[in-house]
Amino acid sequence: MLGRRKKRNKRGRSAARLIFRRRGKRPGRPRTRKRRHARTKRLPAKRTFGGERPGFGLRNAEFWRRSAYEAGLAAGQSAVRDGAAEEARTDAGRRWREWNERHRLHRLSWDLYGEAAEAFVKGYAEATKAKLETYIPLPSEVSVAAIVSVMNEEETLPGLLRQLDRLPLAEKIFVVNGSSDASFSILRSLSDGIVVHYAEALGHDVGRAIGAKLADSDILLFVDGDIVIPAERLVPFIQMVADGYAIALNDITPYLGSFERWDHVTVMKAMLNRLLARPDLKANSLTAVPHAISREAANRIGMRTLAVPPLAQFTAIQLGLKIGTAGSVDVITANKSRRDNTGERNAVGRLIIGDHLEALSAAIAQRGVRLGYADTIRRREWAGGVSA
Amino acid sequence: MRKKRKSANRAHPSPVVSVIIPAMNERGTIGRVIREAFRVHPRTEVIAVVNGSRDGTAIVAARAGARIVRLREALGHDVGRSVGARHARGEVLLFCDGDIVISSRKLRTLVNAVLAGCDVALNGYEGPKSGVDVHSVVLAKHALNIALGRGDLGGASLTTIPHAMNRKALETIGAGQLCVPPKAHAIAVLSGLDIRTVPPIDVGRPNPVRRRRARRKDPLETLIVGDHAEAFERLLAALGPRGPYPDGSRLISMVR
Repeated sequence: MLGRRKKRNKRGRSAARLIFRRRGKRPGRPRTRKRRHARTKRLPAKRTFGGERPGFGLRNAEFWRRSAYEAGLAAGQSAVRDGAAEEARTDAGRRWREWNERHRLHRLSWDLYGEAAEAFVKGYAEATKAKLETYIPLPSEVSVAAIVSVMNEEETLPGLLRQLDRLPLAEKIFVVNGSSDASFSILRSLSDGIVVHYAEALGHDVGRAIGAKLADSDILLFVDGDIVIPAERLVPFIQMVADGYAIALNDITPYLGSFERWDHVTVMKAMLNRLLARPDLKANSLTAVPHAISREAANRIGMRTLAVPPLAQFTAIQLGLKIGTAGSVDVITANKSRRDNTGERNAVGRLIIGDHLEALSAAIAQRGVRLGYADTIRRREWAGGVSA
Repeated sequence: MRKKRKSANRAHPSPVVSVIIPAMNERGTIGRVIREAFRVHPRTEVIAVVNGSRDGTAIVAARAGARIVRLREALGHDVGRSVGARHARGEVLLFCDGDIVISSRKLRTLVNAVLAGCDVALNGYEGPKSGVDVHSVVLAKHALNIALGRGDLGGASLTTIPHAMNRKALETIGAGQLCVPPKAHAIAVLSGLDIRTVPPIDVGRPNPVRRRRARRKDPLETLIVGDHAEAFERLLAALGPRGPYPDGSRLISMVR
């Protein structure tokens, strides 16, 4: 009991420190008293403070939308005054980043970021009369390539293209393979991206590797042609890599339900992470889209390895690359009903399980039979005839 | 005061069933475990592998009628199974644990399954499966079966007691391998033994592993995860880097 109480105090103190750092210095009060005060009154609604800078925390979305819209309007007006030389999107993006740099909304909540960015752009567009529609600027200035593997996705492609167009992407690379429908012609007519076409099916995930090889940007964002993800949900993945991570994965945990309902592939994903001593990654893996990889990490992992995502995951962990989960996009429910993805013994599922075993084989080759999990207490000599 | 009398149970001279019970400081439960064990079949021998015990487990076990294999030092996890299996004379081997009392009625389902013709009978109990944060051991048991192409076994495994096997299975697996149960499990599946499960016998609640698990770091957890790594290694060495699964004809050569 004592230990528990002590812990809570500790937490309280550190939280208090954080609040005070944000508030800035308060003269005339000894530090210790401040802390104690903050500890007892830790979570009252009174967390907005004076000054020109809007407060953190309990400001609501409406407040941020309004602030961002006004800021966008002002930014647009100044752009008109200056006679901006840049393209409207680039200029709006730069001015948005200037504003967001002060408020750091992407650190607060991605929902808030998306709404505020949209409002800012709306204000900017109104002032400049530029056509920006629902453009979503990024929090950092980075070059991003979206890599989309496409195999008979004519139904989802128009929606997907619309969402990708909302982002400031340096490159869009579509790898169409084994498609017998209108996927290719839709891409040619609706997108300004690079379209690579292979008549034959390249096999699962090979398209990704080809796209990665072709891309020049610093950040590679991988999506699939079969699922439409709103642009603002893709921003966190880009930002995580911009923040220094090598790989930003999709956290599918919230959509999995309890273990008894997991399919075989999910079990293998979680097992691989656990065996590689990364239980924090749960069942998240490069197998699932969307995810983002830094150019440098992709080069180190190797393009051919990227075509076998679990093997790429092991390679990344082995190289000590920084891997985390950036956002949570439900790709499970949408994928469940797809033709060859249903049923435990489906072809794609079997392929992916095989991929995981391949990754395990590589891991055992490098880390040893027990993958580094020592067996020190067992007296095997008494059992006879076994060695680790 | 309880009267300490010698049990009427004694090892049958030509047993059909050998019950193997590794025990280390299990004085409190071993007597009852042995008593239940004797009831699984009219011709039964009970072998208690008492290792590293300082609490008189061996005396209690001997009084209950078990054959005692006694080792001064602690053998470590599951090594007692290998040692006990070498001393077994019966056609059917039933593996139990000294710290969990399971009724003979439940144990009999395993013995009967083997007597009815299968090679290995597993406990259908799979451990706690509700919740997203599944325990490593539960996860590993499921994953190993999937990797072996026996997803139908769910989380049933030679890792879980009680389980039974016939002499053919023992010889195929090798008594020495039983001390790393996941590996023994992989070998059993890979050698095509007839493996079946019986209705779940709950060994989660009375198992001290769980009590230990409540604390922060469970040393047994990493041991068993490592054991599963060994099992995967065995499987991949036998069937190739992708196990029994196809590679889906990827045209990796296209990535130039």
